[in-house]
Amino acid sequence: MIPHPVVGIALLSLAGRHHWFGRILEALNIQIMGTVTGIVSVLTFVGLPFYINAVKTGFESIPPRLETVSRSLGASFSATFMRVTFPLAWRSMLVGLIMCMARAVSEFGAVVIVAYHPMVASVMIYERFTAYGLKYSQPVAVGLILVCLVFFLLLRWVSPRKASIP
Amino acid sequence: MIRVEDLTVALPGFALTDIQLHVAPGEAFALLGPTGAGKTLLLEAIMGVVPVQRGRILVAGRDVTGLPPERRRIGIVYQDHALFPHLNVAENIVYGQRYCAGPLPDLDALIQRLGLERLLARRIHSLSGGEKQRVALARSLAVAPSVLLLDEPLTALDPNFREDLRDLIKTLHQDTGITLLMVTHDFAEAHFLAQRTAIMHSGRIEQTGSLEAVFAHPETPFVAGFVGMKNLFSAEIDGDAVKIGNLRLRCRNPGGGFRSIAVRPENVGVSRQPKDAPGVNHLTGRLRRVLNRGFYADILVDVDGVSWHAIDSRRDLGRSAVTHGETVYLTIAPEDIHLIRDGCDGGTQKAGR
Repeated sequence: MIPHPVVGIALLSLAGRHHWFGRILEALNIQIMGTVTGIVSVLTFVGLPFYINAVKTGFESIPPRLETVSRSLGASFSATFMRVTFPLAWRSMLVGLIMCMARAVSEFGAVVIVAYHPMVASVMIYERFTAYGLKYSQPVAVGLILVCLVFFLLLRWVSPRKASIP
Repeated sequence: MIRVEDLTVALPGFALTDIQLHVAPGEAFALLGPTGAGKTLLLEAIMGVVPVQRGRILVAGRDVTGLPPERRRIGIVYQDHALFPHLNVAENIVYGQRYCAGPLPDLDALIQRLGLERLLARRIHSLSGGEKQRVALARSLAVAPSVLLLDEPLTALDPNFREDLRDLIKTLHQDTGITLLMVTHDFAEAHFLAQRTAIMHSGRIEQTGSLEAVFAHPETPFVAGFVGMKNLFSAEIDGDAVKIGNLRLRCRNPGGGFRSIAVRPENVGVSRQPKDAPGVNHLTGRLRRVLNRGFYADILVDVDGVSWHAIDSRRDLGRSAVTHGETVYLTIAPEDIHLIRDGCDGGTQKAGR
């Protein structure tokens, strides 16, 4: 819902030395502006809802009765999670991860505010397009399309099968 | 084997209240009641998967109220099987054995008994409903539970599988002597499998007793309606008779303190000609409705503003068509009029089915 440049601005405001959170980061020698840490932070922020939604849907699709039966058979809460819940939910967790990564790859607005350098692919496309024109931006764009295609195929491959959960 | 004392379980919008239940060792006990009565919730409270506000649950003399489900040694078989879909049949059956400290049943014998030898390598989604339920039974019995809870185990099966599995559960119960507590909607199933029953309604147990006693002598208007006594009326005792509005019917042992009567439709005789039957109650009424049920017909007769349900077996009224408004004659034996202490709201009250 939040415009992505706003996410970048908000993150920079939080990480600035005028905010207590920024001062903590500074004390820990963590820099956000123009660093890989900043890129990872902003991409995690924009991709996390995709991960959470996919995992939540996966866990909700497991009938609670399976866990009840498992515990009635003597398995503890943790053993039930490892032997029933996790085996039925891991595909959804992987789907969430891929969705999160795919979302991160396509991010531009927030990244360009937080870390123009080191350049991520979407920022590089923008820079090449504005500085050198369409022709120079096309190779990076094609590379990005291929990466997205890989994500799509992975998504198809790991998505939960219809018959896997009753 | 199972003793539930003063149990209260409160959930948002529904509660089990003051539940008292005793299932003897080796007994097969049926929990009956309409949908939403709280039967499955009671099973889950006994299982330990819903929090208990008040009361105690004892299994084999041990207070398990505060124990987690895995330490209660209670098996459960659900209507929808609840088999682990990521495991095959064999893996489902042996799932709980690694957690069992005590002696385990002979698994090969159990598998053979349930006819699962050829299914062991199969995936769950490739099994039929009956096969799934047999696997669910084997999985529960493989850990030698103290008691086995069955939550409508036959409901989702087609009639052929249902009869086979019903016979199998009966034989298993007789041979192993395991204590069974089952939830069912099916009276025939309850009569076939169980010795005693409890009728539940709105989170309470209305009546407990042998199936014969509960079906023949319901103690509340709800139970009377639920077990099929459709003729349920508020009544006043008047000497050796009961009065329903302007009707006066002789009955056995009227005594005091009774406020309702119940009569099974099959105990209401109906004919086109007055019958010369001494000692029974005779009523004359008009036919209001005939519902064809195949081999019999449900009949509604209005007698001085009181509606009586009767069942015509196609002998009493003959094979010719009956017409609405036609005068018919009812006979009710005094011993078929069942007296109930509680009053019922309004002229008639029907409950459950």
